[in-house]
Amino acid sequence: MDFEAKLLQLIFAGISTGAVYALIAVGFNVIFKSTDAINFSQGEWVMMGGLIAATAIGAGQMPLVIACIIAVLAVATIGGLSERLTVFPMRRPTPILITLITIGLAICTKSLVMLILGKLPVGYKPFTGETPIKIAGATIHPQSLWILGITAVFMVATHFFFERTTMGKAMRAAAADRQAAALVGISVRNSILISFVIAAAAGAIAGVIITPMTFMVYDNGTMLGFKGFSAAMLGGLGNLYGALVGGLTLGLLEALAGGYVSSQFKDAVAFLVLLLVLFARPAGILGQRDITRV
Amino acid sequence: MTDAAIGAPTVTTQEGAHTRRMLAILWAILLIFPLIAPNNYIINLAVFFFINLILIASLNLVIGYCGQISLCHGAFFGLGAYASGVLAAKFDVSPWLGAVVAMGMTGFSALLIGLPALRLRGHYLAMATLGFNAIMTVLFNEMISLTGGPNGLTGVPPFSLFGVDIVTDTTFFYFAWVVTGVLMLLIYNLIDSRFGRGMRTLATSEIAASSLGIDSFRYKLIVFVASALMAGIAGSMYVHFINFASPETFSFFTSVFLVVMVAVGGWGNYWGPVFGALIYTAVPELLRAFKDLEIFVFGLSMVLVLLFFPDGVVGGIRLAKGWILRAYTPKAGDAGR
Amino acid sequence: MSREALLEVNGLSHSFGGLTAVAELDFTATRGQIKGIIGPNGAGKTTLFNLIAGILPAKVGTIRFKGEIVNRMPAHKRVDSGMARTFQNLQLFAGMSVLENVMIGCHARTRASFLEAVLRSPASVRETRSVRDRAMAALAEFGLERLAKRQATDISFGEGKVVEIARALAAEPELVMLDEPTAGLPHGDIQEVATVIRKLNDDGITVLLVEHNMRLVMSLCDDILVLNYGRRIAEGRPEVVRKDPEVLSAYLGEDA
Ligand SMILES: Nc1ncnc2c1ncn2[C@@H]1O[C@H](COP(=O)(O)OP(=O)(O)O)[C@@H](O)[C@H]1O
Ligand SMILES: [Mg+2]
Repeated sequence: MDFEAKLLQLIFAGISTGAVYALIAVGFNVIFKSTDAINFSQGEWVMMGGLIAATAIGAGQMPLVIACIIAVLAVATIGGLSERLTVFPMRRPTPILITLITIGLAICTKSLVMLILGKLPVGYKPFTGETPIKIAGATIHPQSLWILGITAVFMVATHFFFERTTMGKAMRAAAADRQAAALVGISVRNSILISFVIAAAAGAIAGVIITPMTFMVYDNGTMLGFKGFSAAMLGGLGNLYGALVGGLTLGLLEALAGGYVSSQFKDAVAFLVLLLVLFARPAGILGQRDITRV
Repeated sequence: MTDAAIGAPTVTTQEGAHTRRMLAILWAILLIFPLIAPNNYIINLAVFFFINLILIASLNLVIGYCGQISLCHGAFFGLGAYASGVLAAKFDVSPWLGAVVAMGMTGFSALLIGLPALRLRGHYLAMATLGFNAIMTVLFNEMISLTGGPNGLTGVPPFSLFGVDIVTDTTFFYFAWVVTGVLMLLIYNLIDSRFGRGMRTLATSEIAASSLGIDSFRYKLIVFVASALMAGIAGSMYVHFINFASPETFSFFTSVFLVVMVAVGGWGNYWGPVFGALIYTAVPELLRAFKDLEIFVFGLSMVLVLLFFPDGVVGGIRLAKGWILRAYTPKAGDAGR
Repeated sequence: MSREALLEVNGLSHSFGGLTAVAELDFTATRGQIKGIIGPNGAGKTTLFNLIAGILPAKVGTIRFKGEIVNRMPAHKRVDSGMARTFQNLQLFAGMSVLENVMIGCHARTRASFLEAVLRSPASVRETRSVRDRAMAALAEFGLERLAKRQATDISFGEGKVVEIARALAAEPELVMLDEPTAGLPHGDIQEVATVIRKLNDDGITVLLVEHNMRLVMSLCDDILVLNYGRRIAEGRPEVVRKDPEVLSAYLGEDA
């Protein structure tokens, strides 16, 4: 394969994994905005989305679309339920405590999925066949196009939710200044619940669209969450557009490192570049340094 | 001023003396542990308790006292283990020298991560350490000629002292007893000092701290490096004890579990890590019986502890003590209210 | 009273996003003064303190302390050079006793290093003892010895306010900035705080006092700076400022 074709091929691969990372990063950002905490369950929701969809298709004999929708709804419900059961009852919901609770939540989620859905890797057919599409000497998998399309739609919908709807605006107000928001009657607690639901849905969607490409096992969640968090940090934690930029950057970095450096060291190279970028621009590509109130 | 040095002890020096006495009593009890332990397996676990205690107590300095989440303590542990283990197994370097090199390497890595990441407030350390752990895991797995890769590093010799190898569980127990005891004492010295008080402000508010003349960056950096050094020691002890190292022991999961144990024991409390290490060492053994349920029970108990005792086991004990005291003291105070 | 300027602020501005919190501010605090800073809520008083203390970066204008421009000096170094402050909403350190909180105040005036601490050098032990005695004495001066061993999070807001003053003074400052020291205090204690402020001023400490209690401000301050929307609307002796029409309208406009 000549140089340009290889590069293009790697870019295609990078963008489609990057889009998945971006979706996961959105989950981190939404919860970070409402709680200042890092949500360690995020990756487990991705894994659960993929596994539930696969089970619905396999054991449940359901059509693909229905199975995927069920998976996303189920995970979103579990996300909301998790918040009501763990974060909501806290007397002092400090960011660090919420962060730690989500670690426990992640362990529970992962082991429950293992107990109920089993330890075997699962997968299902791509949404529309597997015939690669040829573009300028490189090929792109049809599922990659689905991934890009669905990510784009989700991003636009999330943007619309936070910019246009009353609930989204209220959540932004609550994120900007919790005390002030409480004073004008915005329920900070409810906005935390909604953020968990949105984050879980984002994770599940990521899981549902990536599973046909990579398969999914109960212990994939941590790595996926890890990548999503990196993407969120890279773009600027708490910034919706940062998630997209960060996800795509990380996806491309990984693909290029894998293609040109070595596939064994691809994670190391990707993270090394990531660290260097962060050290040069600590608040992330689109982030702003936080101003703390005294 | 000169009188104060010789004169009557004041309030907190008494408390300091109290804590040091508690530590001495605990260590004295541990001294006879191998004599009363029913079998070698239990003594073996006790060695792991010491190693885990070093890891959790040193991480508690960063998380509990400086308020920074570090997600690469497992990698420091591993770097210490591999540095010391590879030098001894492949290059015939004395394990003692290897331990010093291990500390040097973990300390230097912490400096490299901390210099840029600790300069700002926020989650930068979490991110940088997450990345570092990922990088180290790849290196442990892929530098096969040195580390043995996923199959692990074998043939690591034990420590030896005056020509005697520290190989049996009991001899290693006493070795770990000394090292861990000294480190625990040094940690208490740190907490009970000017530096320690400066450090302890950071978990509440770096802004308030800086308004009182505390250079938060410097403090965070020194503590982060010191805690990495201790993890390096733990790693070196580990590898020369079990004479083996495998990458998965030092994965991101280990780092996360160590953070969890800091919280479950009681973060920002000197005794918290003792409970954390006890749980981290014993509970997985006890849960063996649950087989696949093990991890679930573990996660669930963690959520419950944090939910009901946000200050960990130590906080729970303090609450319980309060209830008992209130239940058994005559209600004399009521008239006064 | 000497006329030497301890703190000089020139053309200082600060904005949060689009909101200007401090605008082109000029003022001077001379050594030994008690200078009142008043103005309605949101006038920019706390922001001004944050700029002087180095919590917020002063990008427009200059702040001169003891003749030296300190705009770029980190907050902790400003404490070394003689500034101390209290916070409007308490900033006591959780997980530490009241006594330890006051001991923290001495941080800038002590030296023991990390190594000395870990090895428990005699010098470091001695220093801890003397700091403890000083902190205890400082608490005693405010009649708060009984709180010494209590957790900082367990005391009342009013008590916390006073502990913060004791902590600030433990840093042996030349300039102390008090942000609403009597807010939330019961009436009897307000008088006590006034006595404390007067006393520390008699000891030669210069005071910047943000305060809503007008009687206190009028009786204590040598000089008053009035802010509204980040701007200076009046400055001068209490009896002059009190009669200033713009000040009256700013306050009436708010309270009415
Ligand atoms: N961290 C911040 N971010 C955004 N706006 C702020 C911040 N701190 C203060 N402000 C705004 O700046 C203005 C001045 O606030 P402040 O200095 O606290 O006033 P004061 O202390 O006089 O009541 C107010 O409008 C306030 O809302
Ligand atoms: Mg104010």
